[in-house]
Amino acid sequence: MPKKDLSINGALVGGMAGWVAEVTIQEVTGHHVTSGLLELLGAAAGMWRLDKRLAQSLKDTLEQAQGSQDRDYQEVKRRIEELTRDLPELREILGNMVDAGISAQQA
Amino acid sequence: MLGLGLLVRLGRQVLAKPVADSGVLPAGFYRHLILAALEEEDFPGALHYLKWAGEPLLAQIIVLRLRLLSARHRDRLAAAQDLLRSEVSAARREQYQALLGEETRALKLLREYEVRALAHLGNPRPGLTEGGPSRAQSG
Repeated sequence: MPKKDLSINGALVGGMAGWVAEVTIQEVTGHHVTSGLLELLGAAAGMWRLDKRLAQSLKDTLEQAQGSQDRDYQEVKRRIEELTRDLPELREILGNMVDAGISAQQA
Repeated sequence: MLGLGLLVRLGRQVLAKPVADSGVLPAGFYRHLILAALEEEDFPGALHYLKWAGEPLLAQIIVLRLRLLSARHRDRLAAAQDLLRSEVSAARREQYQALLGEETRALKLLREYEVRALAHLGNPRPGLTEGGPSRAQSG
């Protein structure tokens, strides 16, 4: 018989206990605690996913450089090279991303 | 009774900024703050934490974003100038003049941000050509 890893009853009891605790704290103090805790958790999760967020930031930057959707990759590459002459690291990364886009387009 | 929620919130509001501004937190936290600011296009916020992030790539991203934004404003400025040249109505001309003023102010502000970002890369001068690289590609 496979080992049981999840307990629906446990989850329900835990959820109910959490909700009761939240309501109790809210009633006693008159303030929401969970929103603040969730914000802190969100910030922590954001830090753990820094690499992914940095990659997303690069992707967003590339999209901004692309401007209109009808602009082709060669034009985007030319534009990026023009704008990043003094930013070698970024030029190389974005250049590689555009090259990957060109390769995908040709495939 | 001073509630726990109030304490948590008060602690965050009173201490979060001074602690972050002291630069004692890990570099990863400042990178998180910069990326969050960039997602909202909050350039002053991103620039504020740049010195503690220890990541030149972030400064380069900020510079490129600023140049792209400058290019957009430069296009709008040129469009407003064209409209102003062809407009004869005084009321419209006044509107275009106001628009020109706003676009000029925006460009000046973006240039200031670019200088600040470039200073983190050891390059205090914005742009590569006369008027900046964004002018070279804006047409």
